[in-house]
Amino acid sequence: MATATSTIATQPSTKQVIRKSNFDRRNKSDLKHFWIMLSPALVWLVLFQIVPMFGIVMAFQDFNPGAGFFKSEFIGLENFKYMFELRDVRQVLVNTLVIALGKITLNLFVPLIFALMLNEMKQVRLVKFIQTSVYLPHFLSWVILSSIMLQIFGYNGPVNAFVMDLGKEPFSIFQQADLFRGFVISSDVWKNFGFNSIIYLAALAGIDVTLYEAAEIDGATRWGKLWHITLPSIQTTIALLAILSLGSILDAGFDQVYNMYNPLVYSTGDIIDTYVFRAGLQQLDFSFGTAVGLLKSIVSFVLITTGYWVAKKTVGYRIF
Amino acid sequence: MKSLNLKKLLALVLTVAMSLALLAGCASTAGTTAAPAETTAATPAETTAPVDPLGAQPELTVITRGVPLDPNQKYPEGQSLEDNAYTRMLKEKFNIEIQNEFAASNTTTDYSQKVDLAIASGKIPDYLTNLTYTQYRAIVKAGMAMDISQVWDAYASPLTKEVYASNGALFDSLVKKDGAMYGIPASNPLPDFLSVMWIRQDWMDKLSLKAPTNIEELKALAKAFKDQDPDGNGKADTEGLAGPSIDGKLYQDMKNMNFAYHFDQVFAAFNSFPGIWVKDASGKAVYGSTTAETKAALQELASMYQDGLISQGMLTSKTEETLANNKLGLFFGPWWFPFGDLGNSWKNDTTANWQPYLLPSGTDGIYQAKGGNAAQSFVVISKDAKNPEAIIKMLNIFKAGLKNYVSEEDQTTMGDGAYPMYLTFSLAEGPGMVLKEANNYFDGKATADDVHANVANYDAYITQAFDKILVSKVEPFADRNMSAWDFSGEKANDFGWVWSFGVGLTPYVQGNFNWVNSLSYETTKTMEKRWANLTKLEYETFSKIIVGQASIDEFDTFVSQWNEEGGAQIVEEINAMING
Repeated sequence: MATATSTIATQPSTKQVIRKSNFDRRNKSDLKHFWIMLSPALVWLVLFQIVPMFGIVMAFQDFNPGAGFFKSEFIGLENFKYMFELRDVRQVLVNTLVIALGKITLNLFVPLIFALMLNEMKQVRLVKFIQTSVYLPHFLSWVILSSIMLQIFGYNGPVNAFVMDLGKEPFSIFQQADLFRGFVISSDVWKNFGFNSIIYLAALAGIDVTLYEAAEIDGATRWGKLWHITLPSIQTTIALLAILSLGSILDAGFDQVYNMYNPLVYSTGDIIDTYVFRAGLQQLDFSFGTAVGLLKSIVSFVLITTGYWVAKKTVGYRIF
Repeated sequence: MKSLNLKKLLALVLTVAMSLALLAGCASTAGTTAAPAETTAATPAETTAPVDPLGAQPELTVITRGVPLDPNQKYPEGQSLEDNAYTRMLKEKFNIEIQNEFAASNTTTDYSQKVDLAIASGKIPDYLTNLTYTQYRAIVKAGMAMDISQVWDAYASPLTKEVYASNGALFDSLVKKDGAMYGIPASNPLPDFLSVMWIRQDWMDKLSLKAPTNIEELKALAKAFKDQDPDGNGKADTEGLAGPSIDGKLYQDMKNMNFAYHFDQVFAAFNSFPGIWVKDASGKAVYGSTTAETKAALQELASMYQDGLISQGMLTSKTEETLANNKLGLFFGPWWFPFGDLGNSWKNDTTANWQPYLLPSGTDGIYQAKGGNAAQSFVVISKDAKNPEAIIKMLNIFKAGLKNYVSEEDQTTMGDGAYPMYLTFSLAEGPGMVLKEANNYFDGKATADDVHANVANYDAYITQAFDKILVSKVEPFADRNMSAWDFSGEKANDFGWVWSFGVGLTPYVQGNFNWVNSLSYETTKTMEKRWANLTKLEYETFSKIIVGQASIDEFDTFVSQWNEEGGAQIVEEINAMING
């Protein structure tokens, strides 16, 4: 058995070697076409991805649009200093981290659990129906969803009407600072868990059925199969999604918060993006906005790199 | 050989890409270095011959602009943004050709963002309209605006100059500096700043109540509207006094005016003017939100909220929907609100008899109205514009009445919004004139034709308001309640015009108010960095006090924190600015 698989495995690789040598031989004439096909993408990359990077300079300048990059006054780390001087910066950072971490963790595990549950279901039609209906909210924008949320959970909505009918204190999530963060996180998870489960479902579909058959013969229970076959088989997928989502650690979701918050929940709901929107963009302070953006990118970069390194060490996952 | 060609090709592609990129990066610098020479050259306005403010350009003049788009803008068959009766008229009669450099929706922030991008790129079209004061200042600061003082003197028509002069002192302080003039302020008519107390008269009559003349009566009315089922559906589903919507504000301030569902009249009853700069007892400028009077007003609002007299969902629900569903009979808002949410209320219940009142601030029966910045948007002419005089002429044409230049059919379809130099540019009294004149007719002091001519002479655009009032008004003329108007059939479409101009302006025309203007509408140096932070503190504290999440003692903490975090310094800057 073992030898059989190894011969099967080696055959394609020899074919590949042959193809590769053919390719090498015709290299000179073939390569040109590849370069030509690649060139529009290269131009795009340079023009829209690399050149705009110079804009980072603004973060260290008192940027004056009329004077441009070359004549604006350099002020060093002034913008960053100002950022950390602001009384609200700690509050805003904490809000951002709590909301983003909550979203990252729950958006990782809720879809996973959901996918595992769907995977155990045998009624194909029902599975399809559930899948389609939970995808739906993902495709609605927060502008629309937030006004629906306001209708349902707001002071005049049915939820509060029900609570007040029970003779309890009025209950409006948008007025209570201690409930707001939880609501932002859970509504985001509700919106996205169906869609996020797609990748897990794909990974689950890729597990070799023979493994389960073998486990059944060995007398494994359903839980045993889940624990010893399913989870180990998709652990790289979980790791990949976790690493990728680390990049959004400072991204608590501008659209969502901006459309739902109000001064009563500033203390728990004001995040970096909404703050920069009010302080930076509405006041036309380009430099400050760039400085905050740069800081967010650096933090994301560090976290993704660390996450990748950890994943390589622990589950042996690698992209490069 | 082949590979050499390939290398050449690659090199070429990369060089082109790099030089394009460099060009893009340099564009802004090129503009600035070339600037001084051009500014001196580009003032051909100094002609000795008398100029005609409405005369054609001697040769074809191309003018570039940014377009604030109205997504609902309609064009007659075969016409478009680029090519319509207005642009044809400008080209044929005045030799002015309009080119649109960019166009973006003005109902969202798209246009504003395009303008910001243009500012950031260091190059703006020949002229830009609908600029905020912040954008205007950014353009001037960046040296991209032209000093138009001479062109203005030479080419602005008497009518155009008259509009500017009707708010002259304020406008001078905004756009003039050391004799130079860097922009044209859109001139907002003053009635826009007089927020009125809109009341459902039919509800009030049903409960045999009178319009309130002080805070106690206001509370009584709010309580009656809330508890006594004014809509008669047997359910306790009506609200008292409306509070701000989810994206709304508690009061008008120096940057945001002319909106509904605020509490300004309650504040004014306590002689409190939050959000603007006022004089204290010693004559020094103080920020209205930090005064003891404001504290007293907040305490009253908090107790009203506690008693359920203010809508409990304020700041967290959509007040405009409550109004449209006719669950609301009392709110503060602008005179033109029949064009807006109030119009929706009427559409859903055509017996809704909304009448405007003023809530007197003191025992003398006078309402202390917070005055607003009459220049809410700005026009800037680029310093690189070759023919600034053509742009001024376009404003003259607009002011002279577009009806006189294009066919009436085109004008009715497009309205004024499609005109390339469309802006609010009205004499200080503005729409107030229409109702004053209309009253003369209804009182028998003037004929309809005289009044029509007077209004047309004054402002061609709003003449239709008078015409529409005439169509809908029925006897008795002195009665302004819903029963004395006719909105049957097609006339219902003009409800906004008729009710705003014919009814909403009544308090302005009666004149029982005083303006309390902000001592300054400027943004000082410290404000640039600190204001967002300070307003956040202010909104948060005030909102929490009113809904009872913070005690009134928080106000004192707020004042000291506000001063510590830059407020004290801003007060000093404002005082220095006023005195210096």
